[in-house]
Amino acid sequence: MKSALIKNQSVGLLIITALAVVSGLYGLLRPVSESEGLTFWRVNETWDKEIYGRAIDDWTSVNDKQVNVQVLGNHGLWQRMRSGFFSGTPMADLIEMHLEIMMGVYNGPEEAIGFLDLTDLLKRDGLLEVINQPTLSPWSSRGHIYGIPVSVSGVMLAYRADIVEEAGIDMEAIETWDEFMNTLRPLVRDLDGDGYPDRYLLEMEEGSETGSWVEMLILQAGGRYFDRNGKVEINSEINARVISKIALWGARPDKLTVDLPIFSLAGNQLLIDGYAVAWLVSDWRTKFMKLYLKPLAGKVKLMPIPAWEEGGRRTSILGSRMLGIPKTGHNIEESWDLVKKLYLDREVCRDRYLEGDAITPLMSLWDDPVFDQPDPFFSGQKKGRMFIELAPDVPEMPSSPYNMAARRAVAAASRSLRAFAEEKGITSSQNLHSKARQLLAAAEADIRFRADRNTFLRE
Amino acid sequence: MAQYRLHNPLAPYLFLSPFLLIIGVFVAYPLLQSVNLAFHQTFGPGFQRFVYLDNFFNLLQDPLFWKALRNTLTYAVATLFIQMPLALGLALLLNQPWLRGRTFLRLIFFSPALVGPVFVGFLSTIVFAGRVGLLNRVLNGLFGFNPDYAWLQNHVMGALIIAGLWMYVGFNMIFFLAALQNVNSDLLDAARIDGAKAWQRFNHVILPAIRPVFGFVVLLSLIGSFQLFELPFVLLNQTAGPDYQGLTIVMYLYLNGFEIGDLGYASAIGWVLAVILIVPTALQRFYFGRKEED
Repeated sequence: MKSALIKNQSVGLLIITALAVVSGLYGLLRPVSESEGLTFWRVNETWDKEIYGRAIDDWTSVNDKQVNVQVLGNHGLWQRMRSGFFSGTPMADLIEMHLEIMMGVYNGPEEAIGFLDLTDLLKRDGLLEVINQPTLSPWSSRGHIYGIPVSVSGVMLAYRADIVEEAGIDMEAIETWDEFMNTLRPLVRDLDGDGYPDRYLLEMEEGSETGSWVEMLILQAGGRYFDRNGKVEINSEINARVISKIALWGARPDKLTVDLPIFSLAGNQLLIDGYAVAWLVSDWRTKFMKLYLKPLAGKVKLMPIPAWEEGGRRTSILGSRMLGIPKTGHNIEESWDLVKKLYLDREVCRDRYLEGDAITPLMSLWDDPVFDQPDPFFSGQKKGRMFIELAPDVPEMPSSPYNMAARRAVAAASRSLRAFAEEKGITSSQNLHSKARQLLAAAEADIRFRADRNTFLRE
Repeated sequence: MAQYRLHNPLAPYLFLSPFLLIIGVFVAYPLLQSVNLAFHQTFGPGFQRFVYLDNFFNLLQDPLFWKALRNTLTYAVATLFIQMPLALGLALLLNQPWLRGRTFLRLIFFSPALVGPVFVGFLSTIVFAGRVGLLNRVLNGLFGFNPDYAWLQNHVMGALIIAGLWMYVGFNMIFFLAALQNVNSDLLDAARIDGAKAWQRFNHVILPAIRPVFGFVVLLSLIGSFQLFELPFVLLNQTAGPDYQGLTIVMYLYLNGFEIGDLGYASAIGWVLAVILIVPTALQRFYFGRKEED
């Protein structure tokens, strides 16, 4: 009977069965590989490769410990990290990640945050006081610090010096957003004669896919989406005032701002073509400009962001990267030592500025002459020093797990407000104010509904 | 032919056991577990809190869920009333013996289905992009249309429906084409001899003959529409688009389960989706079953 059974089966089926059994057994019995030394997952930023290489070589030569670096894309990093936090799959000893990923880590109860609370280690090593405090805010939750930021992430305005100087505009005389828009308004032009402008004043995200740009300007103005206790605070006077202005800037027929696909080849080409005269850049984003907007070398300059009112804040904050240590790490002290080497060591920070434009959040290093070097790309400006002078004014960024949703909701409100202004022909932000409050109230209700549903955050 | 006699009464169960084991582990257990999860709030699988029926009550009040449902229904209705007639019309056209190059044209129309929704979604982003988009370039060149018009901000659902048409019209056409080729030509000849006009032949001969396939394609498309995920996810750059205009039910499920980590809420969404899908399935079976009996 046995031979008859086998005889009646196809050879292919037997091979597939045999392969399934063998591979299943191999998978089950294979020992989990425990690599020697520390494992470091980092995000894929090409220009950092050599900086990390040198720093890690230095560290390993002193500590006689191997560091296995694995470069991952954002999505892959997110999936691996969550698998590790939730299901105990193999984890790195150090993880570097972008802000958008980090917000999702705070969704659950405090004990579910998979990163080690670094507050005590920072205090112990006397680092807490010397790190620019607002820069720590996105990486902190419920009073604990879970990551060290790579850069201050302050924001300035980059503008096409060739275009504005040709028009005889003195940018140094501009202090507020109103002055910026009014002075530069004549630069909005139809260059090819098709009846539509080919040049706008400011790059501004006009959809609501991420809402980062609107948030950046709201934080600059002193607004916010959450208070320090995580309570939703979207429908405020400041927020309404800012989105009213943004809505009018983007409203036709006198449209001044433009949405373009940033961080893409098409978006880069549009910037090179002068489609936008100015755009908001963080310290780390200036590196993108050098890499992808090479024809603009020597044609662009930086200036502090115009304020919302005279004497107001001239900078903001745009998400960045951090280094954190998973709680499951094998050797916390060694991991912490490597964190300090990679993000807080003077030489590495100098290299990271020279090769990556990132301004270290470590205030004690801000006196380094490297930050005073003129940058030829930015028409010889001392870019580092300019960012550092603004760094103490960088606003705090809330770390609520609902911040991403709040960004989108407020950006959607701003977008609806723009449509409303276009439909009613409104040209004054004061006339938009009550509608802005109404839209923000709806956005606030939406986010409050979602946040209230989370029983883990109620405690 | 050799006769085998079973000596062991447990033998049938032994033979059934691999199937039962696989179904149990990979189908029955996950289904039961998802029912259990639907009554919990979770942060990943490790942190769970029993919340009674709160997930379902919250869904009823959740504006995003209703928005996702409305978007999904809009897409499904468009599928039904635009995609199906187009697919059937195309199949009728490409079934005509007088049409030259039919085989090539069939391949052309079917080809988007070969590359999949991710590729179609990506290509659609190039078509519908603002200043640099293919559509704006063509319209600007031909009619002086605004080159900055933001299709993916102002007409998310329209762009999605068009991308869906591109993707699935050819795919559904193949089913109709296969059904049309099985229509009894004697009946068509008889109808023609009896003086039936083209529409009468279509209505009284072709349509009844392809009705089972038609019902199957409608059901398949409806289920596919309700499960829409990859196309908007890629088209809208891994977001739900401005003001969640491209959010579908499955995207919302994914967002809650895999981005926020609340598998409980995601399970509740999944079960509501399952209940929603039972309705068209039952209607389809009732309607087409009755027609077949007639």
